[in-house]
Amino acid sequence: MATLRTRGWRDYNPMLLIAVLLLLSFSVPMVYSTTIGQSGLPAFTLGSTFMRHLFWIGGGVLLTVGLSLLDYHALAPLAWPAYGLSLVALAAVLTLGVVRGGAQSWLGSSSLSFQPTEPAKLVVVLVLALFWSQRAEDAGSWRNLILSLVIIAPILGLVLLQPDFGSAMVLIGIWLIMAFIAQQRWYQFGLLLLIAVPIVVYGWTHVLHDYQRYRLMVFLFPDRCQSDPEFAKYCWQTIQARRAIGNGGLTGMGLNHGIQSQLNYLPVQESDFIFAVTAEELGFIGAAVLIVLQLIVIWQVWRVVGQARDVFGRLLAAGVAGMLLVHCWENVGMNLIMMPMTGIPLPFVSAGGSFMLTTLAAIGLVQSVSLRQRIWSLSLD
Amino acid sequence: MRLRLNTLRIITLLIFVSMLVRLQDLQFGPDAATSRTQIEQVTTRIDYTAPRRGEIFASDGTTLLAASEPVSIVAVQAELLPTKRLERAAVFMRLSSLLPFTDTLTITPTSALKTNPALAGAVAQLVPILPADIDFSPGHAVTLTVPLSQSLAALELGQVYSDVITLNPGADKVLRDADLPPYLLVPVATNVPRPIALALRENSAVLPGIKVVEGFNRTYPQSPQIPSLSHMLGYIGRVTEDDLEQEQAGPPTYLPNDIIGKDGVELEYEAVLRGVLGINQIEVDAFQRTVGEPQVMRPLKNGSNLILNIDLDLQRQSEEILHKWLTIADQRRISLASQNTPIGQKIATYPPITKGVIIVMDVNTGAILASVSLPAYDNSLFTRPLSQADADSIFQNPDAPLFNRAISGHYPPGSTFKQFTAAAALRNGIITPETRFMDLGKLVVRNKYNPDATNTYPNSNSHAYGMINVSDALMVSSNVFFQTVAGGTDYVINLGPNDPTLEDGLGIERLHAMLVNDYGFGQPTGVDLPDEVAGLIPDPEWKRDVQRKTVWSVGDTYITAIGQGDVQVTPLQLLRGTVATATSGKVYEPHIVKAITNYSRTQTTTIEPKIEHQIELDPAYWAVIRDGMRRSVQDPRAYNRAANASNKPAGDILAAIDRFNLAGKTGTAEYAENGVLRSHSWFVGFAPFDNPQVAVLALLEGTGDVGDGSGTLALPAVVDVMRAYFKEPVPDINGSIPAASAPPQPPEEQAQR
Repeated sequence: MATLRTRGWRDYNPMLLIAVLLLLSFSVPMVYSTTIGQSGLPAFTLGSTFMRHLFWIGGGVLLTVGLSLLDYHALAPLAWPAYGLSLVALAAVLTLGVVRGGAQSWLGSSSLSFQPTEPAKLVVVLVLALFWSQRAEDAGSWRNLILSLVIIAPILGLVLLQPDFGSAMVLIGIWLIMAFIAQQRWYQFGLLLLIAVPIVVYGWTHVLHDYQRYRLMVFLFPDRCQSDPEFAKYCWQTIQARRAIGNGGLTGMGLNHGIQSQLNYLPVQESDFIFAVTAEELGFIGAAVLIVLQLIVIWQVWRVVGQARDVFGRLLAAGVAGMLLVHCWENVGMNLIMMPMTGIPLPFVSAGGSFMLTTLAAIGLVQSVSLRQRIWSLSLD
Repeated sequence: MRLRLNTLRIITLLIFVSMLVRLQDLQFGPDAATSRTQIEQVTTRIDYTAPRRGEIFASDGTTLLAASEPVSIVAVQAELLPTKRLERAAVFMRLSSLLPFTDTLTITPTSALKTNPALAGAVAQLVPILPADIDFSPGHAVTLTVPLSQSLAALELGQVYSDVITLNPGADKVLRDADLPPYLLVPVATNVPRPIALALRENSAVLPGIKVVEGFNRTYPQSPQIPSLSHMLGYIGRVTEDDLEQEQAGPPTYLPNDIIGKDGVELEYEAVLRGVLGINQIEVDAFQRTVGEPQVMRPLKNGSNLILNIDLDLQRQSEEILHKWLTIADQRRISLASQNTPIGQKIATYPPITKGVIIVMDVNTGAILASVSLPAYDNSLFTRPLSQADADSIFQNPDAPLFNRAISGHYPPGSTFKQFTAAAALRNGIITPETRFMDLGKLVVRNKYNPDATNTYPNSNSHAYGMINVSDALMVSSNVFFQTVAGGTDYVINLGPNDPTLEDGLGIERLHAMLVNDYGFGQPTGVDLPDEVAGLIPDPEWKRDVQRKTVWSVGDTYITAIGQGDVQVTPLQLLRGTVATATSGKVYEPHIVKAITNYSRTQTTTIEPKIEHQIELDPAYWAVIRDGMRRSVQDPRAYNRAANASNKPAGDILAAIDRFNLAGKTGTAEYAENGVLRSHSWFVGFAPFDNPQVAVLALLEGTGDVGDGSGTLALPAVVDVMRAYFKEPVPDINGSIPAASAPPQPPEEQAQR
């Protein structure tokens, strides 16, 4: 046990921990600020968005610690049952779920609702990591590629049916990065792209509704918001986000003093638009700190990818990196009008229990991989 | 492996760097300033608070003539209405379920009623009896009126059959008819009962764009009973484009849905009554809900109240009295017209007699105590949407009831004018009180340029009065005397060799100067009412420049001296001139408004009587003029007494004249109407003779030859008003005194009067 204390913790990634904790502490005043102006329970009341946020942070941190202590190999047997459970939950969401923000992605009543899509992302990471690590001798094969696609397809399909394009993009991002780390070939990606383009084009023209197309396009043509009245109906969020960010300046309006956020001009501001609120209230400095902290987190996860002892650990970390990267990119990108409007949360900052627990669990997994980067550290168990 | 990981690291870095670049671009780039202004515009709104319009009281300071009654107003703010047609209709139909709007629904095509039995059944349930003439051939539409209280059922129908049924809510029509900008609250219903206002407020969630605001409704509580008040009060209406264009730059004083005074004191005292529109800046959230406290940019100031000089009882009685004597005049017209005499045939061409004026002025202040101009209109009709019948009765009426004859009508004053000619002659030393001239009943004047032609200027009925002085001349209303004084006897050829002559006389220049510069004729009196006209005192210059006729002749001077020809005065000018006689030369600026009080009626600003001019004349001369006027009604020989000896509707008029110690002057002023020479009846007088308190004028248009109108209609009308003023009962149209209609006045109050 002496080894455990002196040598085992040496490989814990403190930068990752610190960056995550900083992001979490950042999120507390921001969630407070975004919810005080809204109708609903006062912030310091049991059951308020803010109190629930604190609760999820607490639970999530415990989950991080617990999972980092647990050898990630112990999760391997759970991967497929979890996968099955996710499929069931996602199917249940489609039939029983609650519609919010245009997508049917919530289970349960409003006070204790649950979004199975979020843990499903981590389950996909786990299953794909297990799959590719077990077939490492066949790395880069067409067979691996196709089977991995078969694994992800049902989950992706169910998510698209909700429809939750943001999460679908996250799943695709996770698969791409993991496949890349799992040594799938460059030309395989190229060929896949050739197949994917006509499917996407068909989906765009034949499956999507007008409003969905508009929402996905708005960020590309902000000028049409003025000129095209049909287009303008979908510009509210981009216009409000742009105003909020533009209003922030260098140091911002001050916490709890953003005009756009305090007057509820930003929709779902405690989650989807919390970055714009930060930019308005804390200015460029606050928003840049937020971006840099996210970068540090992902950077440290990449570091763990490089350090991982085995393929399973490396792929686990890579999947987590992919999940966090696409979430940041989509969320911040949407706030900055660089990406389509796809309402997905910002890791460690947005309010919302399912995603907070998922990301903090993922960080626990990554720390577990980091802690067990040397053979002898197996003695930890 | 390294390569792949580093590729992903580089991609990560690129993504994050691009975010930072974009962030700094949005926060410091060219759009940032725009963002800030846009936010201010979107999140701050200007909110206007309408001031309460000041109220108008009668002279007692408590009786409301124009009230601002607090009411709940249901208003629509178009920009907050749903944009979809059906949702918008739903809001209005829900509103209709609480307020009585007339909604209709249109079914296009009507054939749907045949092809769709379910629709036909549902429509039949809503509107049980369809119009008989529905055309069921293709392409036709039918519009049905939704029964009251069925608006929600109609809404449901419209939602279910949105492809064939179009809803046309009544409130929507009101909104569109108002044609105001969408950010303004457009009132669609006023006087909303409190329970309904509460219900609307509670259901505001399903009624976006519908607001209940507290406002004020103008009412004129006395006008339906005493329409003659309307000419003085005026009326209000929505501001026009012209009104708004006159606004100066800066914060607005009027909004396009505001009301503004259009006539009367409502117009004249608009700035006082209006108050100041409050301007607040409010912050609103994304749902247009007000956040925080409004920031006052210009404080609301309620309008001030007016207290008029108008004595409501006197006004009411004066109106009744004028009605009474106009009715008598018209009865006489009918009865005379039935006689087959020359005068009867002439009178048969007269239209009904309906027009007249009575004004009562306080001799000591110039205050207008009552002012009646008939026909009148009821200004309270303007406080609500005007029905077509009411609009026609006002705007299409040939008698022009909106026209305030007291200040906007101008008439030849006739013999009432002689008091002024007398004053001019006395002041210029043409005559003294003792100066006598021979009155042979007429002046025959030789034409200056054609010695063979003569003109004759007779007295009324060519009655000859012999040698008379100025007092006698006023008593008998001698034309010859005043014409002699004004124009001299240079061209007169019918005088006897021993009769006194006068070379040149007063002359038009001096007469004109006295009338215009001293009495203020030919220019507005400055009364605090709009649309006052100037009238006209002709002189040679006027005749040359304006009329482009021949040169001024002595005949022109003659007829000007007796208030005929081109002389035009308003009744108010004439009364003011008579008050100057009564007060030995005080020419007042007459006032309708006595005082202005602030909104809470804690501070009162009294409008002090204003003597515009003091006419310089020997007090003894004033006394002579007044005495002539006294004698015209009090001297036993006075024609006016004989004429009224059997004037039954006038009651015991001779006793009343003596009791009030009345002095005054009749006037029968000729004018041409439709080519027929007619005349107006005037009487203007004051009382008591030795200490004048009140002056009264009566004018009955077109009654001069309806049985000597000035003496037997206008004079008794003035006496009746004097009775009312001195709190005596006024005889009715049959001359009988109403039996104790009014409670007896306490003696102290009578003494005060």
